Amino acid sequence: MKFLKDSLKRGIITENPTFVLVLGMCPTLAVTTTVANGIGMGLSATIVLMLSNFFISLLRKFIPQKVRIAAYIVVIASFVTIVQMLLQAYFPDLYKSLGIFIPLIVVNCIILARAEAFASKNGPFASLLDGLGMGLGFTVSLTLISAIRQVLGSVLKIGFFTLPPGGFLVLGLLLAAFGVLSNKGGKDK
Amino acid sequence: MEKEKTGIITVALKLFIICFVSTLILAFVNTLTKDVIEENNKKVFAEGCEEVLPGAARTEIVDISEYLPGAEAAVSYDAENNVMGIAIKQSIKGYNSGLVLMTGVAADGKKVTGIDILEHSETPGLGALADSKDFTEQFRGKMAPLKTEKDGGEIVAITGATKTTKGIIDNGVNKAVEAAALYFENVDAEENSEDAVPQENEAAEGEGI
Amino acid sequence: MIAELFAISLAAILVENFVLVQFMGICPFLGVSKKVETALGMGIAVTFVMAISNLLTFIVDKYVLKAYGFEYLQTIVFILIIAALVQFVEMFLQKSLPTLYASLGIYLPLITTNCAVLGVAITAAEDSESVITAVWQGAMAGVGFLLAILLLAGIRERLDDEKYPKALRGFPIALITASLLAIAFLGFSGFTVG
Repeated sequence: MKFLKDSLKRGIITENPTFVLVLGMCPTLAVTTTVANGIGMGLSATIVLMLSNFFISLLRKFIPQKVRIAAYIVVIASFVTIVQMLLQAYFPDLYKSLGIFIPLIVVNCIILARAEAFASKNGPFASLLDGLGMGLGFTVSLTLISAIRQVLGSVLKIGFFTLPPGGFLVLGLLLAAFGVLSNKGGKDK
Repeated sequence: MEKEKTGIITVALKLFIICFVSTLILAFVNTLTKDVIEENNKKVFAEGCEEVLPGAARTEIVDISEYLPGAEAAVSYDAENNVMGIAIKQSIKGYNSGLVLMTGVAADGKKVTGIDILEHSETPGLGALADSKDFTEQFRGKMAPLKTEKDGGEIVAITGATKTTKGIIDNGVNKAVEAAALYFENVDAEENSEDAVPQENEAAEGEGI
Repeated sequence: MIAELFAISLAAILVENFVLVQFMGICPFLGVSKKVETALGMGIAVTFVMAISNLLTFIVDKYVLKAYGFEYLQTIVFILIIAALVQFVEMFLQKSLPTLYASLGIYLPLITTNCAVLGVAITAAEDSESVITAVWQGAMAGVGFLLAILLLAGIRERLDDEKYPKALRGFPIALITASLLAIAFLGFSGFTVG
């Protein structure tokens, strides 16, 4: 249980993939025009992250050191394709609005980074939880950004925020805010 | 680290096994989801037909690829088996990447009975507004060729997205109407030449939706 | 044909710029844009990889995957082709242009995970009609990336001498600059050819 709590805390707060590690920026900017898209992308990535972490950890003794990146990519791409097919079959609307960014989960740096930094060195169960924590961290960040953009863009009708420049601006300001907050937090302790 | 010395063949073999197993799993999931995906696409197509040509008793898939390459189409019939019109699904280049458009054209090959945006690759923003009812509804019952208000026509462009509107009209709706006109012309010509042979049997094979 | 290629160039570089309009390749765009020199190297490497990978992926997609009904393997096959290609470019640079290799350092293998490369491969596989347009689309998407990253790097170099709030240092100021660049690129959306 403590393990789960640690993984969640690490993924969502201390090593938040978006605001602290600054990874996986493309979907973070591209699909965050509505909250539904943000959550959909976040959860899809979470599922891929958990499964690929779990299986890469299981296979870590089997995968030869030299070609490990290629092997990771194959495992990740397989799960992405599975998620892609399932979305297309059972959530066609979400599939359409996420579009090309679903196959692009393969190259989401977060997933390869966790495979290399965590799953290749830890047990399957720990890796699964790490994937869950990181995935949820990613989902929370996407939800936050998309909520801001949707409220400003669609509800208050400031069209700027649904357009690409608005995405860059919101993310930039959030990163700055997160930086200031975590600095303060560090000092308090 | 002893494994560092594993021969290149073992390395290749292991990688091959991983690829092979992945492919097998994907093939399996593919067989599971293929039919559902097909079913979804059919449903979207059928709903699109109903949206642009409301009240059809049945529809029949027809091939119009010689008039409009890459397009899919279905002819709608009313309860008395008269041709109501044709619904044409096509992909067009919009503001950013693609947009899938459904256009309904009446049996005269001129009147637009309605349009529906089935998909738009949402590089979100301007293009997405094309999906709104306010925009699509104004196409109903208009005679082609259509123009935007700016060019002296009747279609009010999406605010701030004149280009998307023009793309939908010029590369989409107007092309679909042209193809529909050609299709109806040729069907008429064929029917006249085969006057003696009744067409009932063939028509009955159509898919009832 | 010429007109079509011109239209593709205009779309890929300006109107539908992969980075600033379509949000692809953001990681290297932010990560390697501190200096103009490295940005230039990264941009050229990406352009090169995109053109060749589009050549390979388009052929494989059209004559193997689509021809035999293996469309569902598209993602996995494409990313493997790109990964192998990047490995090859890395070995080539290491031998022939060691200075450039040293300065690109860690970011070279990261071209594999540059989603713009996979993104343009998938886009071309869906949209392009011939190998030529597919390769051209790849090359021009690369030039679009090069342009975007050079612009950002040029601005960031100058920003180093300016005074601005400490909280914005690093990624935040880069993103805000990117936002302004994206506004400029929105202006191109009026241009369409054909």
